[in-house]
Amino acid sequence: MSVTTLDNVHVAVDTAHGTVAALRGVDLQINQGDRLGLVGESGSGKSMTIRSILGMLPEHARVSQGRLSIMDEPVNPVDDRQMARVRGRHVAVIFQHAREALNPVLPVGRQIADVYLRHRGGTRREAREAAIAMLGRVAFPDPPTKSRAYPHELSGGLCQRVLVAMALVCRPKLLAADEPTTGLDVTIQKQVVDLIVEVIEDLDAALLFVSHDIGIVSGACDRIAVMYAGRIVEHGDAEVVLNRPTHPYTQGLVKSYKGTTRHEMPFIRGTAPDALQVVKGCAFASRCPLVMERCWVVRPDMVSTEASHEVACHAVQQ
Amino acid sequence: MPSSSRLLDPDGLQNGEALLQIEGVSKRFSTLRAVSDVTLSLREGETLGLVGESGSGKTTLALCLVNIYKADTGRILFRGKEVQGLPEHRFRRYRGAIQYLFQDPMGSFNPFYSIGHSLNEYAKLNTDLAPKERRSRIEAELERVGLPARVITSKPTSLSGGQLQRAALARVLLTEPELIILDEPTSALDMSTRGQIITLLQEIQAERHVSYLIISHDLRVVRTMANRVAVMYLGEIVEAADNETLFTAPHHPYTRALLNASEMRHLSSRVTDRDVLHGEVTEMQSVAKGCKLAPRCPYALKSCSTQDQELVSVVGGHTVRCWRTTDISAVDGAARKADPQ
Repeated sequence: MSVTTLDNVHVAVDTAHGTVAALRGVDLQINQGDRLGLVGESGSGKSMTIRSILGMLPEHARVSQGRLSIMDEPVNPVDDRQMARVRGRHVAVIFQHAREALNPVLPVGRQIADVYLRHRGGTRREAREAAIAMLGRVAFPDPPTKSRAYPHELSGGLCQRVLVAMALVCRPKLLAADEPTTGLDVTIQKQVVDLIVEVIEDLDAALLFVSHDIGIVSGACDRIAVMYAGRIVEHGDAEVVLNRPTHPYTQGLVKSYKGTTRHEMPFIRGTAPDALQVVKGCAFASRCPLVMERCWVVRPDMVSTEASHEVACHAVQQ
Repeated sequence: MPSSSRLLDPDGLQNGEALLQIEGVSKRFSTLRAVSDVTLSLREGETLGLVGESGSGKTTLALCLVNIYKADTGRILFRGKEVQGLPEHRFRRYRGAIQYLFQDPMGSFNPFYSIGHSLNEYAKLNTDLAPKERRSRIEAELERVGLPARVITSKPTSLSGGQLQRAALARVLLTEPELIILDEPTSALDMSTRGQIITLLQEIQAERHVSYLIISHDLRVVRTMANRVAVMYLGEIVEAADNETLFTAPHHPYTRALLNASEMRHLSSRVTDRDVLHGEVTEMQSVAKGCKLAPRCPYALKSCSTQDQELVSVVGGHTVRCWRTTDISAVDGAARKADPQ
């Protein structure tokens, strides 16, 4: 069953300086039990993709084209009442900077119980028990006592565990994790990722893991989709994307991640196009080492290069 | 200074040879020991890497170097002259020579000023240049860091993170510094563009013979930039060595865990799956007795949490604060013999 499907989704944001094309045609399907990593850099549209699925688009954003469905039902991300029924129940989210995502003046257990009450109903006692049980599942130490702690009394890693418990307390079908390890120390990051994967498998939910760090994503996911300037440019098995990337952008990204030597840190020249700019052809053309005449005029479509691997690049498709 | 301090300094430099010498510097904030007894030195034209996670005290130490914090004890010598504890009006003469590039480029520019205005204010305060000379210096430095002249009139919000970090670097270069403290210079930037700033910093060092103290939790940055690397944990230096030794033959369990959690793991056969830390760092551990890593260390024995650890020299220039180092290495050696892989 498809938990979430995005079909050619375009999102436009109206700003004082003009209309920003935040998403320029995103196709994505997440089925039950899938673990999909969405990799991209600032401005690539990865957070906007999560926000469309959750119906949490910024104020002046609209879906200008395309369709989105959750649990095989079409939804409209800007319809607040409809999305309020979906959020928390079918789709839940965890953000980066866990402590800031929590209410500083309520005990963490109470905050989880409130989410349960809102979506599942029941008594406060039931909600509290559900919260404590879920905290136990995310390896939060001594839940009955420590669930009374306030966010400032907990470490960053523990706050992230609270957010995971809060997201999962209503047993959603999809957990969207938006840079869940950013801001945590490297020795803690792996603990949090391992925990998310373990709990997701335990609850048979799907995972959409968004990060700029292709290494972290590949440790948690089966598939990776790489975004650039509002589109997915490569999509395939995590192993293949990380070790044998085909799109020149993915190749550059992987090289800057893995190719550091004693005297050199590889990089991709230039910068990503301004979101206000109208992109004709391929958005990566100005930075691409393989750029051809066609790239400036014709937008490359996603084409399969091998089984379950797709890439949007004229040079690769030749 | 007591002779032990001399032993702790891996370079064993004499006064005058080093551009910067940090001797036994400590800094407390009420009960928290942010920096304890740190000794380090930096030669002219070299880069010293300071590695550690949040709470390790690396930024506190760096802020002591630029007189934003005053150390509680210890000495800081710049070109052999004591600069630690000077009142601001006397430290000011060193401000131009010791510059600080901050982590968040957006936060280090006044959002209401144009880039040109910000740089001009800085030059007015920290250089003796006449207005016309200031203008041409600003243009020259902006060009050197790869920014078009039109950014002079741009506001910080209209530049990307990478462009702003370049502008911040141009500002720092205006005073012709001898030492630049680079505090996480790339952590606000995208993975694919970090190398652009690193390459630029390397070029500028080659051209102007400036020294860097680079603070980073990103080991790739330190691997590429630093001649020597010091690893800090909860205010203490736990290991210091030249770049090659630290990455290929790390001793301390904390260094090994850091390498294991990063993309640098393949450099050393000493780093294994066992090198994983449990739990998290807490402030309480900074005042606990014994080795501060003991509660999280995969190799810890009971005695680790009762005995204080000394920073000792393993081989020339390589110091480690772990009395189990030799045991762990012996275990490694045995394991390698048994399993030639």
